[in-house]
Amino acid sequence: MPLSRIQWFSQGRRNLSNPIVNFENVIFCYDRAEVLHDVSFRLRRGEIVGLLGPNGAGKTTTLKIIAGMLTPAAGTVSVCGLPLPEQAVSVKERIGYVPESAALFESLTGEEFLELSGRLHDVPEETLQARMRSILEAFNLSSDRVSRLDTYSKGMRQKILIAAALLHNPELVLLDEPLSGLDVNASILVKDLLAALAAAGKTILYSSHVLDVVEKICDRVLIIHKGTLIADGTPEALRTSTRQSTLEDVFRTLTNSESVDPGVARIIAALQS
Amino acid sequence: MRTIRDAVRQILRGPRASRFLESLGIEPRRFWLLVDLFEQLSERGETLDQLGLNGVALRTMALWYAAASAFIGVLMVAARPALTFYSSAFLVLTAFLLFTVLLSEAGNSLVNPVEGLVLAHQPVNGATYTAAKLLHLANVVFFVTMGTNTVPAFLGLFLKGARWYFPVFHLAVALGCGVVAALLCCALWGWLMRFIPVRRLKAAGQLAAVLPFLGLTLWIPVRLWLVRAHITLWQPLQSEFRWAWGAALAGAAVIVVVLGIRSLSADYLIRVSAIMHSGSARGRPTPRSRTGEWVARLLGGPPARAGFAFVCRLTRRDFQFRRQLVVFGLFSLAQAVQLMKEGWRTDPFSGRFTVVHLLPHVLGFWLVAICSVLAYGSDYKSAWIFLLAPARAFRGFARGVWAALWLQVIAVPHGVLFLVLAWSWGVPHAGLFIAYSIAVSSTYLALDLRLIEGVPFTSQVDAARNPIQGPIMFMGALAGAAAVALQYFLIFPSPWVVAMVTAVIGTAAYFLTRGSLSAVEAAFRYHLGLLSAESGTLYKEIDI
Repeated sequence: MPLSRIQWFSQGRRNLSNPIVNFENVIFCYDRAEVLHDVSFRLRRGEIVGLLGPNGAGKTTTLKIIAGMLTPAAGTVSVCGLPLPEQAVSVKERIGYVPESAALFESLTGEEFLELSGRLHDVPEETLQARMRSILEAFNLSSDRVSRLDTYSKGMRQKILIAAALLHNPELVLLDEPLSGLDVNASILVKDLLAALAAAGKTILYSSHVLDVVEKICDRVLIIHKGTLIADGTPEALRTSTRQSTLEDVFRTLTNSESVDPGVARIIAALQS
Repeated sequence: MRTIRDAVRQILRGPRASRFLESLGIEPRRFWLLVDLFEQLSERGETLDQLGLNGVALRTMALWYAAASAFIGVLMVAARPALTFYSSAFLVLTAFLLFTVLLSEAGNSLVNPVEGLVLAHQPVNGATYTAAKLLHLANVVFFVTMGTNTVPAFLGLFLKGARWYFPVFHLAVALGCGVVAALLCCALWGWLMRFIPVRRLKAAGQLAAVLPFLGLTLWIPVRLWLVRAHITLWQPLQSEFRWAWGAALAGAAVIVVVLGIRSLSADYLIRVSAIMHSGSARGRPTPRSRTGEWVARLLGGPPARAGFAFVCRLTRRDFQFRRQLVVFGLFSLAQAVQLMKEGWRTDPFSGRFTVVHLLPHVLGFWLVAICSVLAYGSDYKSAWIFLLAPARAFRGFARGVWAALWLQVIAVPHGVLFLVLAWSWGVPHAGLFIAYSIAVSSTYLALDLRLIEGVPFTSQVDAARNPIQGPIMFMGALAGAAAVALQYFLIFPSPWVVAMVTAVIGTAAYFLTRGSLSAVEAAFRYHLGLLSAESGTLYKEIDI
């Protein structure tokens, strides 16, 4: 892990007890369908928190609310002490967000996209160029930096999104399936990077379906099921309280998805019919 | 030229302009970053659907408007009207054109927020984003206003009382009207965003785009009603309180615009995700179509059913398809209903000309419009799914597309009309007329199929095509008018001739459709070939 390349995250670990995200009694509706029911949690500085849940559980919605992209129907949300949605612009200056299914400006090059993102975040030009060089080198994208994004592979696009989320040195990083499409080396780099960022006092909210990664890198895990927060604790505490040996087993137990065998059998039968 | 452009650019981005922008709640640095971004995206062909960012479309449109207004201007000058009437007529025309174009363009920018979604998590306030996003409307205002008024402004010099400065004065007033029209359109969108639930916003916006045409349709009945009620339209202008009336009206307009634009810019980027998700809530399950089963059975198996179901569903749901056709469709439907209300009881075989004589040709006209935009849609990036389909599937798929158009535009309306007309004219005459109309409109469809430029809904909407569509529609209307005249004088005098011609045209429609379907299939394959080749040609580096 080339730690020297992320020296600009050197603000040091801050007060860990001070919550950076306060998510209280949040209810969210898409049209008339309630997708988050009275969800509450807090994130402290320097934490890496895993956000787990089956498809459609409300993970991405939770991230978007914290990113100031959606307004809850009820409840209060604040980031770095700034209330949402009133202070959405100030919050967005302090966060980095890697969306799950990213829309990008396909006709821009990787470099142009990063410049746009950095400049929108008011990063001074020299700093921006230096940071871009470091990150693109770390992600092996230096030679592709002048290619249009529509020629990038999924993994390359993901690297650009991660780079764009980190360029302005955010206090809170929201990651929605960040390892999706990344090659092995890049995945290892990102995982080590997250640990280093947390050590430097950044808070990371990491939504993923890859449970063993979450288990390895997260200090704490939140599990959302059908819009309700059903678990909040360290991986060890969750394993102990549910008497399971792995986080995957904990997840299956809590979300009532203990066995996938009937589903597999059904699909195979349908394909053979 | 470049020096002038740079100088203007420097002034616009200078400290004074920045202070002005800040006073409006716009963050100048990010505003210009976004303006540059949208310009760059349009140069690289990523925002072809936005008229104000498409230079080719703007120039072509301005040329068409200039030619049409020059023609009208010459006619008016020959009639020697008063100068104020002449000038006002062109201002009203400009305002009408601007409302029709700007309402649709503002909607396309605001409720089809692809760029907004990319930028939603960036620290940009709503006012800055919407100002940058809607700045391209200024281009539309400039080109429409100058296109419609430049020639008439100079022709006005031939009228009595016109001074040497009339052209400059007229153009300045026209640009002023254009700015007011643009502000009103943006304000209307602000009000819609404030009061319409997000899930209804796209549909509401499309209906709002019909408002100018609705006004045009209602103008005559409202005017007649006012005359009958002895109300003079310009009464307030003649009263002694006219200045008070004027001031009150201007004040109300300013309040409407200011509040509308404030609500438009307040928290736009927070709504973007919700707008993109609108309509995605769980709805009722779509019943499996029996018609689809029949299409599969008769026209080419599962691929035909796929084409049928795909076109049936997306013609109702695709935002860009609806946006392109909603104004034309609703306006012409309103006109058709109004005409039918007057003359549907008259038997077309009575020897008199009736509006039902127009029916197959009106449907043909609609089919021209539908077929010429069918290849374009919002989710054009999903075209990859067709690249994976086996080549033989496109034969059936093309037939399915034809079936969707034939059933929706020809069979269903004729079925409904038959019931209505049989009650009035009797079954034999209604049956014969409906058979004739189906044969003629099917022939139109067979010809119009050749206008489909690729697999439906898989190309990016290109605003540069709009000006081309005008002449196509115009030529279509001319051909339709000639056909109506021919059928009235040569065919309809005798039901026997109608029956014979129906058989001949029906047979011709069958063979023409077969030929056109092969052409459509070839067009699908050609278009997909271009798409697959594009992925290779796109692999290029940008010279920076």
